[in-house]
Amino acid sequence: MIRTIGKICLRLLPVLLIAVVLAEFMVTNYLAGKGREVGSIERQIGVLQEENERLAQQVASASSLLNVSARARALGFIEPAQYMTIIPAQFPVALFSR
Amino acid sequence: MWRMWLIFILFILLFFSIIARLFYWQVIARDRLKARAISQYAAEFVLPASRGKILASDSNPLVINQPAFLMYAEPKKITDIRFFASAVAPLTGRKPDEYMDMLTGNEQSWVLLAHKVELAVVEKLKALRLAGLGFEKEPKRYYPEASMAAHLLGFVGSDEYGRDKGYFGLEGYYDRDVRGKDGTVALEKDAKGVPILIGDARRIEAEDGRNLVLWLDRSVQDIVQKRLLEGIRKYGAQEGSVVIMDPKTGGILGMAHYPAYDPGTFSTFDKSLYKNPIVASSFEPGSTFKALVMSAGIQEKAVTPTTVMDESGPLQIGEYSIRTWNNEYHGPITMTKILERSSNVGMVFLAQKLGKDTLLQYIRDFGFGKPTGIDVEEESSPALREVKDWTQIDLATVSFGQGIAVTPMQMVRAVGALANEGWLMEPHVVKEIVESRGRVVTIKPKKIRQVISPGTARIITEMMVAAVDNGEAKWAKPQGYRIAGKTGTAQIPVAGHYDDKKTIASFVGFAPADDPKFVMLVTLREPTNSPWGSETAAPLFFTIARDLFRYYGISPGQ
Repeated sequence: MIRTIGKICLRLLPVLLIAVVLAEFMVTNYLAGKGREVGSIERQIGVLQEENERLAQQVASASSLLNVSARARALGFIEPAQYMTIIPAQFPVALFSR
Repeated sequence: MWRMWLIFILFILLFFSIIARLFYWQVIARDRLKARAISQYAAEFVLPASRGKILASDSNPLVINQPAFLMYAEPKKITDIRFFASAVAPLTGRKPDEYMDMLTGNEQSWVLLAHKVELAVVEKLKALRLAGLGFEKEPKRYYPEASMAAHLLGFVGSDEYGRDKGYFGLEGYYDRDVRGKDGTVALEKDAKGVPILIGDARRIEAEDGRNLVLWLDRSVQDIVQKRLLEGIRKYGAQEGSVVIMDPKTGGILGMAHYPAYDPGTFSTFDKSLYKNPIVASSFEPGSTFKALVMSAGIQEKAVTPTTVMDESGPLQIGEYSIRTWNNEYHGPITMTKILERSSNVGMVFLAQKLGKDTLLQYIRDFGFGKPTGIDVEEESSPALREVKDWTQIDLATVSFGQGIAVTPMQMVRAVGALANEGWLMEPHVVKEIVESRGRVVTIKPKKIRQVISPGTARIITEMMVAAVDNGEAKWAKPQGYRIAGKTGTAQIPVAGHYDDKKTIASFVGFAPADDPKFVMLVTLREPTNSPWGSETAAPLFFTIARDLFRYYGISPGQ
């Protein structure tokens, strides 16, 4: 019985070996093909980083005092010619009551 | 027998020639051959580090990076150089002939055409689909606030190897911090140049430059620049500068000098504009210096605010006659009045009471003669003469701020000590350094030494408040505020003598006097409307102070 099993195993061994080698070829080929994808992802990262920088630049530009003041002027805002400061002693009403 | 010897010698020679060849391959040509071998199966890329940002105190950017590219050509791939040049030139603002000269007859495989070409231009060039035209990433500095604080920021140029390098200001001082460190990635590749995933790979990540967070307040800087420019035009001055510091921390809140330059296009400006005169140029402080000498007198108990001296006429020192600025004399006057009327004669009286050694020691203690240690690249300091070189007339003139050269930064810091209970601070522009991994390094305010006691500081503050309230510039002062200050008008030394018509008008002070929020120095060089600080620099100081009170929400009487 044991001898029969041994014989079968011996016959199957080359088949297994060929299967393993084929599997390794396929996996290697698959992984090597993935290199193209890696390259593509690296390029995508580059594009996104570039886009990120461009958007950061646009945000910085839009929120700059230069831009804000120019837009305020365009909307008709002007600098006040004079200011009035009211200090507590000048309040026309009492702040606290008993 | 001789045949045997011949073959033997031949074998020996062959043996040595093989040894020599192996030595050449393995030792002499090792690096070159190794590089060639690696280039056949490996690809190495540089992962460029981004230069750190420079942010204002509200974290809004003053300097960031924008996408830009190095533009190159591969002449061997270009079929028609004339067409190539005429297509590229209009988009890059150059003449076709310039590109023709670069490319015609050029045997090189790679020719640099331009540095830091902006993204919008590159996109247009890419749309032309020209064979032989290529681009490499080469980020460029972008200034959202245009030329704001140009002298403080500095600019980025190239070093001898064509790499980015910061020059002047913060870019120069913190170049190593903001530069970062490039990384590399090396991968095995196949015959088509595609990376092999299961092959060897080495990756060293780039370390981006550190970000700098400043004490500088964008709104304060905007106020300073706008008002300074108006002041220079109004008073017909050649140059002007304003520096504002927080006296309690030494943090620089605003700093401007005109004429200035645009750091984005620095190469189109005269190189003499690159240095920041507030830290790199000196001037004679004139009467603004009197406040410091007076504080030394009070600290040494040589005088009190009520000490009386007789200002009966000009004072004779050797062959020199010391006069008051308007040649008017008031008889017996107190020290407070000496400061209010800016009396040179009174200050000489004080200097003589203090004595040479004590006065010079105070001048040193207030930080004159040495750089302040501010974190910008180009700071320098005029040297002080040796004690033995000071004569009686030098001692007399230094008491009213003539015959001594200081930088505006040294002056504002010294007066800042009067506003900070006598403590002299190290001025700083950068508040925090943020590393690329997010760690924040806070630069703590640094006390240098206590020059005068808090009590003396309170007394001199009151005297300076009186000098503003009763002095020549009282008409321009914002009503209801307590401002401590002192005007100054110094003649400009030209070829060994003072030019009567050319002055540097200045005003230094701090406010609110009881709890100072800022100390500020205003200088105007050669104002033409009036040579006096009280009629030019002082009104400009008060205009800026009025804006700052409103910005900080400080009401009169506070």
